[in-house]
Amino acid sequence: MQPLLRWAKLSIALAIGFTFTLGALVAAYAVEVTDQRHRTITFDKLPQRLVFIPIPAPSTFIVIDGNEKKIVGMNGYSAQAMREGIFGKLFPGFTRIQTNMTTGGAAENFAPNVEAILSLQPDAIFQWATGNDVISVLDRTGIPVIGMRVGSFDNYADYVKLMGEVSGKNDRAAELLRRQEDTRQSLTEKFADFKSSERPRVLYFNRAMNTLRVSGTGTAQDLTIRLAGGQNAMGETASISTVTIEQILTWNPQVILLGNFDQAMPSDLYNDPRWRGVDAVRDHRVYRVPLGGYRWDPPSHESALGWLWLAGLLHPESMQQNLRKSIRDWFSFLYNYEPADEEIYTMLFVKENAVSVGYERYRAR
Amino acid sequence: MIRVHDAGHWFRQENWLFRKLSVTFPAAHITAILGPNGCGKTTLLRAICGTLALKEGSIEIEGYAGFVPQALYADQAYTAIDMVLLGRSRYLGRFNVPGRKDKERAYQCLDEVGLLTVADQHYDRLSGGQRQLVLLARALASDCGVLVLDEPASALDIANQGVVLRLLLRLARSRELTVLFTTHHPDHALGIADTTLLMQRDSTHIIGATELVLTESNLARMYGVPVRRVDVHSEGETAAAIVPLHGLHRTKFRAVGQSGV
Amino acid sequence: MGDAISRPGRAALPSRKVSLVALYSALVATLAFVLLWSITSGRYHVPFRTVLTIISAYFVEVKTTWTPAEAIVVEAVRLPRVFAAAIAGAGLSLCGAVLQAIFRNPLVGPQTIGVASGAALGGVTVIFLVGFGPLVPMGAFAGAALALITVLAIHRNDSLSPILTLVLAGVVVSAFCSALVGLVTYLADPETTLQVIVFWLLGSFASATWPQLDLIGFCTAIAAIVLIGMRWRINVLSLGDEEARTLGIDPVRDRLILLAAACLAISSQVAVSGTIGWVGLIIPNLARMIVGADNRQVLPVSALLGAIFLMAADTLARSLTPAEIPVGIITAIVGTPVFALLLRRNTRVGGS
Repeated sequence: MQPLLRWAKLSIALAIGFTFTLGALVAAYAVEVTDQRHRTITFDKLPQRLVFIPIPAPSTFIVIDGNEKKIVGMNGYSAQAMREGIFGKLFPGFTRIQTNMTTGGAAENFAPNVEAILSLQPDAIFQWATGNDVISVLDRTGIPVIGMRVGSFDNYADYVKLMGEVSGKNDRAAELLRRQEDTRQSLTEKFADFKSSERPRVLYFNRAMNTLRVSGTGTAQDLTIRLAGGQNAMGETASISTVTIEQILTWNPQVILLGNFDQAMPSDLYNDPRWRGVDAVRDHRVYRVPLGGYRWDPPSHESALGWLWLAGLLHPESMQQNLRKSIRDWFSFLYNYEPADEEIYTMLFVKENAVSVGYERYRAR
Repeated sequence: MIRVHDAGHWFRQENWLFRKLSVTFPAAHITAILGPNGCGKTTLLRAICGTLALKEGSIEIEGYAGFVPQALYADQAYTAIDMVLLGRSRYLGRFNVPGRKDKERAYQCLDEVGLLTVADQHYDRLSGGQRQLVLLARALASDCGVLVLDEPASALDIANQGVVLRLLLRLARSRELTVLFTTHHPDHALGIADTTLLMQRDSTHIIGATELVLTESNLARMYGVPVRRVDVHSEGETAAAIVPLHGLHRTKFRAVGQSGV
Repeated sequence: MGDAISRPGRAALPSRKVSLVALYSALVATLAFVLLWSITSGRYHVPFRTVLTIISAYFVEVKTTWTPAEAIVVEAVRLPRVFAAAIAGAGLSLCGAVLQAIFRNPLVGPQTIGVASGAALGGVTVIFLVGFGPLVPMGAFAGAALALITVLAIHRNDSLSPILTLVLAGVVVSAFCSALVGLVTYLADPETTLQVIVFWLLGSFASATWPQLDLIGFCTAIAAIVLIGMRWRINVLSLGDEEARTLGIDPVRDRLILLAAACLAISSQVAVSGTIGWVGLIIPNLARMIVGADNRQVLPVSALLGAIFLMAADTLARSLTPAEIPVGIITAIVGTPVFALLLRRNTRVGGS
């Protein structure tokens, strides 16, 4: 009787111990993620099949994960951007990714094409958390949905961390953020003592061909301008979708930035008689924002380059470092790629920006 | 003079309104056209005025016809004088406006129908009788040789009927106009028409001197109701009336007191 | 003559005697005033005296007391825009007045004959295929002309009510053009073309430059010469086809000429400033309330009132806030309640 009891106690102890160990092992491999809706999502193991509906998300994920293999579906407009930019060249496998993740039409349409998404059997879906209707329909599918927010640079940093967790490459995500933070710190220190009069008035145009859309307080472009040692010509106003040209003349920016969301180039403004009264046009300080692996105007993994680029234009005497070298460093870290001189030339829109003052520094090697 | 030759028309496929109608309306005469509803009186008028293309036949007319429609609709807000001025449009080129001569003529015509005092009032504010006269003045202003009127006295009260009839008589005689009018009142035809055309649904038409055409038997046959002609002489004027016998057989009227005077 | 005539049926109100000289003087004076107000208004502050000096420099020798920016604001930004708005307002109102007369309906406008929608479709198609440029006004005119031809082809001239079928044909063509515009909007690249199309359709004078002013000025001038020239014919046509024929007019040919001229004016306006509604509908009704139904007065008064109205609306659109309010929104805010009032008025008075 005694050996049996002893054996039973041992078995039970072993069983309990085994269960706990197994549980711990599983827990060790499990991934717990808090999305930008402040919801916690638990995965048993790292998700291998991902669907992305927000447009800039896949490229950020690819940069963090190192390749595009885990992406099974993405927004058609992400694919378009990849085709047109250098990104597609760096990750040619993107063409196999399914692109009918939304119900189509305008880029502002993020309504998910639920059947197409489900047919890919994804482990997780990334979607904008800003509109309730486009995300709640996905919640009902039972597949984990990771909500993202956009707008400010802090939102961006948050979802970089999020993607680090989802891909299991937390270190890399942290490294990306650290590098961006380094640049941010150094620029902040450099221009900390600059008085208002030393900061050029800069105005960033999201669109300038027919509508004139400008970015105001709280936006990533506003941050870019301040980090680069400038001030937003709009002052503390919020963004405006259709501003009048007279209003622009009233603000009278000294530098104008043309974003990558439409085709406006500096010469378009120089040739239009109505813009002649603006300082930036008179002094030929209108610049097209570069388009590298991604656009440098909205928050992205290449934002630090955008800050450096602008700082070099606003304060050439203070900014001695070589932008091309910075580009090479970043591209090496991000993509493990060495861009050719012609590619940098195209990225920086050297041809189109050559008509503007101060761009020689970016033409030189 | 108006010569109608073998005229025929239908609105619904092969449903002929009238066919093989050949009549001559004598110049400088007043001719009345009578007939039951749907026999094609108005259609014939429109064909004469040139606003309708006949399916068969032709119409010869010296000059052109000035048309006076029934003044039923009062939705035009022009002033009376402007309405009359519209009659001068025939003589104005595409980019012209009425000149002094046109305005003088228009005032003249308005005066002839006795409405000079209401020249600046709006057409839609005038009474039914006044509107009819304005339309008559408009047709006169176009200096036409032929005047065509569609039931010119039908919608008017007795006094205004008299006004219009007297006017037509005077104008026809003083200007040697050929006047053509449709009516449901045989009395009016007997009153002023030299000639009368009786149109029947079976396309048997009778045209001739009014006295000869508007006999009791002809009218009875046309309307399908027995009629009697009554002549009245009073104060030098002779008036003829056609009295229909509707078969009412009223011998006793309900008793009711007469109130007031 | 009998006393029957001098006895009126209903209350014969004495007609309003509006002194035409006083009226036109007042209108021209108002136009000049609004013009001056428009040129001196804007987000960029230019002192009143400076504006006058800049303008007088065109005529007499004056010393340059203004800054280059001020000159640019007045000459390149405001002047072409203000003139374009005035011409567009005059053109739309004139076309509206003519359409209301020949359709015998005070509640029709340039949209009703399908011309405005056709012009929009033509312009949008050009933007979609080629991009924004000098081909757009040509596309707008082609679209307007095609819509007009379609409308005329659909409606039957020998039907019992040709005016009604014309209106119905116009509604059908308008609806079809709008659907196609929707399709083009759906297909357009949202990064580039879609924004252009949406902004253009909203209606705004923000992109008015001197070359565009030349275009709309030229087209509207030709149309105005034809439309105002035929003002008496329009009176005749407003009686209806039947009566017009008895008065010796060929309504079909006259209508064709008038519609073609209206097409020219409307398409040039759409090409320069997109779709702007309500002006062609409301202004002629106001004109008729002042001067009566005679088109010899209604047409010029409509043109003047329309110029004043749209100039004022555009000045408000660009001066109230830093953002550019599409002028079509202001005309709609003013126009819809006025339209509702007109609707009540017209249905209350009713037919005879």
